[in-house]
Amino acid sequence: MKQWVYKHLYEPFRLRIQYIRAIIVYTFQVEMAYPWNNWGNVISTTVYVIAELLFIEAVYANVDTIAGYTQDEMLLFIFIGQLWAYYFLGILLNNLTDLIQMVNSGQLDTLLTKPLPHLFAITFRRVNIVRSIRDGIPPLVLIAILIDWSTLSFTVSDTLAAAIIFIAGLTISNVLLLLAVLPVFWIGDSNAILGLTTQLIADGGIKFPYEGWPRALQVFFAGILPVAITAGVCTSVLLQKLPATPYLILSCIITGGFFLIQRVVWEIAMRAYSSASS
Amino acid sequence: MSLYWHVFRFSLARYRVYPLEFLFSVLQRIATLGFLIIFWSIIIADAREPIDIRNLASYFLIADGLSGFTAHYTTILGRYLRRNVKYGTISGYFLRPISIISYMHAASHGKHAAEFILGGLFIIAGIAIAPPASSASGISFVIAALSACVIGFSLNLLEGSLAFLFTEVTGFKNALRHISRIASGLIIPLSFFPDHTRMLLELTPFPYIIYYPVSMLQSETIMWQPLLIGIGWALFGVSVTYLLWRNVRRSYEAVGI
Repeated sequence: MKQWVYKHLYEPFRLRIQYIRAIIVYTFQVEMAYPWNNWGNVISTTVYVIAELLFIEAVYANVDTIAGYTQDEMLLFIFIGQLWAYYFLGILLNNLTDLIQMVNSGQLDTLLTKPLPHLFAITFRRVNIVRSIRDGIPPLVLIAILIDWSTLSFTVSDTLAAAIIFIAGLTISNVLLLLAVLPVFWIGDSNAILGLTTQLIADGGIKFPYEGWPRALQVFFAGILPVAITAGVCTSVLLQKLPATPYLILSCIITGGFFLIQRVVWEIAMRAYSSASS
Repeated sequence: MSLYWHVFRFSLARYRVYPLEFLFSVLQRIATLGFLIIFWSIIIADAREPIDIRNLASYFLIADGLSGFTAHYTTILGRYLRRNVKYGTISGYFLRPISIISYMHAASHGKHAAEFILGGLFIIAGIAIAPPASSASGISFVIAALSACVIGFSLNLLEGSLAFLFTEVTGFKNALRHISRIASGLIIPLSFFPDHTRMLLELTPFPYIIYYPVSMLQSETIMWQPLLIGIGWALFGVSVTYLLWRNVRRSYEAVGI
């Protein structure tokens, strides 16, 4: 029993932690080598958030609520959506576009010959925490300052549930985006599929509150294409607009289901992959 | 001229090699527009004053279609120029007896031809939902749309020119993109903004790219002031950016040149 746990749980976990640690250090060194090159990104993300806030301001000049959300509640929703965005930009996006390029150029072969968990290695080949923090903090602080927190009320249990739902949502979007990229193994290019999936996650999940969708789309965006879990459902649970326990259980089940789908599709993709050297 | 047409056709050929790319590009545009219209249809249900959903849907269809032609948001030419400068491949083009801007224009637009096809269809659909008030409105829309395309071209050329001066222009480009997305009226008609905000935005060229051309189509009389200001911005923008392009080209240094 002890041997089994060591071989199937402890060792893989230790390997992944080692890999992530090395990748974070390496990415940090790369980022710090040319720090001034990317300060433009900080301006870009801050301007984006200012533009979004201007948009919200203009809309709320004409309405009192959107889908039952007051302006402060909407700003909180945008805040949580932006947390996803900086995770996506700093950690996911480059790895996914790299995978497309690696499959086409044959560089994937090099990775596949290494004694690493390949899917994990590809998904977290670059972990740009510096970028996520550097680009994310100014706009997030700006949103946080503009929210009138006294109008919002939270409970500890719902906040905890929302945090778990948020992490589940991040994992689901991880899987969805990877599934969007995997067709490259068959059709040679999946940039447009990745673009479409990103658009669906952005428009269906982080731009509009969950309660704003018609019932059919709520079921679709929370169950079938679960893009609304990260920001929409999370915010609704946090603001006690949705019951925490059922949605927490639903998020965990969906996350588990998508993990299984990811594994299966990855195995099929690997079997279909004909490398540059074989 | 035929050279650039061939370049355009060659770039377009990527859709034959990757037909699914074309399909998913189209789906992405449709999804974006669809979500925008759904979003606004839910907002206007809560609006304090009644808003006509037909006019709004027509506005967003024409706005999105026009943005495909102006490329002020996607900056397809600017991106293409920027990448060639960043990776040094532009050196090869300098050695050839071609107009680099025309060549890059043809290549980048061929690669994104789906944008134009869809843009045209969206404009037709928008006009079908809410036809122009008069033939004069239609003519002023065409003139304003041409000015908008020139302003969009200027923004693209600006991005490409800045790539010669700075190693990383992505941040600046993205910041300009985000501003133009709001200020041009692409996702929200400027009539929704408070008066003082709208006045500030009208000091920039962005409203003359999308909002005013589309408004002209839906107006019964010719909107002379925004039409002339838009033409003015087009002439100013293309002059300044072309001068900048010429100057940065002269200062370009590369291995072998």
